[in-house]
Amino acid sequence: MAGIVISGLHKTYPNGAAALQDFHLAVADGEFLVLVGPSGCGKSTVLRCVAGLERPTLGTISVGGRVVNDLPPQERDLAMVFQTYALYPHMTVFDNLAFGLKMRRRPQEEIGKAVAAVAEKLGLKAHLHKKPRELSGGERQRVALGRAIVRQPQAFLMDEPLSNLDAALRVKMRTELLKLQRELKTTVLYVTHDQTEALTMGDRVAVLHSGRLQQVAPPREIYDHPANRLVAGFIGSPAMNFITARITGKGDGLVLHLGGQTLPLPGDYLERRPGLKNYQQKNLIAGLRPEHFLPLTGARRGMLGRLKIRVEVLETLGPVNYAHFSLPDPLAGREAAAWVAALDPTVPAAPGQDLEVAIEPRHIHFFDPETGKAL
Amino acid sequence: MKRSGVSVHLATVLFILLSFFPFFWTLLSSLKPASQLFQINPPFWPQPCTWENYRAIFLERRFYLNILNSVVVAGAATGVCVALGSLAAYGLARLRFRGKSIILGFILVVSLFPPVAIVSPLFLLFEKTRLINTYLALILPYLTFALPLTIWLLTVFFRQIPWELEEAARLDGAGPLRAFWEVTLPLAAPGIFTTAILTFIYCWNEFLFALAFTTNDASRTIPVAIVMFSGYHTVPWGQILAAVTVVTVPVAALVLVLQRRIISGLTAGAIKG
Repeated sequence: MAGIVISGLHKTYPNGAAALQDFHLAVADGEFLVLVGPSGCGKSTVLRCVAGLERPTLGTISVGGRVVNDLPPQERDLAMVFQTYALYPHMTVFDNLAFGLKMRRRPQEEIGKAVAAVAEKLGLKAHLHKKPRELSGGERQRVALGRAIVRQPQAFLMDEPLSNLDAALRVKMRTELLKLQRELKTTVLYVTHDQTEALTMGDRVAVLHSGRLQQVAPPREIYDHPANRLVAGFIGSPAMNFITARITGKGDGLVLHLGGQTLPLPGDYLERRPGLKNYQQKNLIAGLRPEHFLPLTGARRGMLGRLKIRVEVLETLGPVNYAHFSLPDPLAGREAAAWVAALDPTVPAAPGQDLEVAIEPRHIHFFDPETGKAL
Repeated sequence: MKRSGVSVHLATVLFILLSFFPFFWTLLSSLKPASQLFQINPPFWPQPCTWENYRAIFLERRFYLNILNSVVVAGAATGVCVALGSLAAYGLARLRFRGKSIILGFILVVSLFPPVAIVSPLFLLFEKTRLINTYLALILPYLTFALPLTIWLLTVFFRQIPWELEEAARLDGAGPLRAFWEVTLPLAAPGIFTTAILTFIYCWNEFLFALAFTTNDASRTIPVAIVMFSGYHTVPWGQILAAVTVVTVPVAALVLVLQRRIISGLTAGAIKG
């Protein structure tokens, strides 16, 4: 096992497209790090550069303290799980699992033992003589994992390994994969576009957007304190709501203007959020997660923030209702911002209905309108 | 529905009979004595059945030498063609480089030269290099005509094999050639079989070069040898038919044995595996 250190990685394709710019990332020994971002953000390029399938334009990559830039993939001692599994269709499951050991000229006996052990662990024992096309999606996925595990490589690279599975199986494999990783204590660099996978699986999460690393942090911190508007908008489902807002007044008269409405803020708000000091009287972007709309009942009646909304569409999911509504956005000079509120099913709501919801000011995120940086 | 099924079957049977009949008639006629071949109304079945024509071509004409020549020339040309062609096609399918389509176009152009136009210059060349009457004199020109087809067909086949399989093999510890040998080549086998068969049949049947670059009976290939059976005064039809039967059987057998692979080769990519 070993850590992976990527520093100053640039990748520019021959057609001039820059896939990665100044990318730094250190995956600690035994860590499960998830690299997440929308499709086309360059996350697969990172993985392929680490694997040696693609040459970085600039920068160094080291595995276990050894710089591997000039090593061909077969000498990097890494294992990769592909989105399509890439099982060898003309070989049996046994041969698929044994291939890596065979290439390393291990003795027959050792290969047999290692494959048997992995097959046992992954529940593939009954399938060893089958060809990949006779297996179900989940079984193929397990063979692909087994092929990576059997060699005991320095680290695993996983390229959206679960995205070809159906939803139920994906959730199951998510936990299985995690259990396996905890057991093997392997270093994993895991690439996905699915922010749920990122938040549930990663020891740390790295968010990549348009070839630039936006933030690396544990899932909770990424969620609670996104570094900028891109991260805030990408992590969380449904996505965070944004609108242009402005803070005016002083002391007990401190208010937040947004969506043509005014929300009073506590007098010490600016002391607790020093980043906002220089943004009084100026436009800034306010963000609020859908789950931070509270029903206006009981004790909360006296709370500070209240927002009047008119429900346009109501999605009932069972444990939660998503109320879609629009807020006018006069400060940005645009018609309206489309917002979503996750409401408790006990809150009576129907399409077309006017509703008042409560907002706790501490839940509001603020971002610089130009740079998008969190304030 | 049922009626159309029956008529399709009938049409198929009729088609098979029609296309098979000439060969069948060749076989029957090769077993007839010369007297029956030239009757106004020849009998359908040979009576009596005679092996005289076969005896004559093998013992008097040493036709086995010509068969050997054809096997060596077609076999060698096919072998070299598949070996070089698969490597070239692999490169063209996998690598990204400038002028790839120009190269592919150029390869195609090579095969468009009418053979007749290059027979004379090639003859002069082979005479100067003393290659006339050698196997090389046929293998080399066959390669130039068969390789373009091989490269084009195999390029398509290699493109259909997911790149990721090789990448997986590379990460599993195989070098580039090893990955090609262990993963890509077995998967391209149907395509390679198909191109090999097509190349072999082309070389087996080729006439023009074989006629021009061989000058004695011992170095001729089958098609030329059969034509040379005819003398000034007689055309030994019986022997010609016997020879045709002898040389058609191996090719037909080869195709029948490999037909499943050929079919899967020709239709590969039509349905997603």
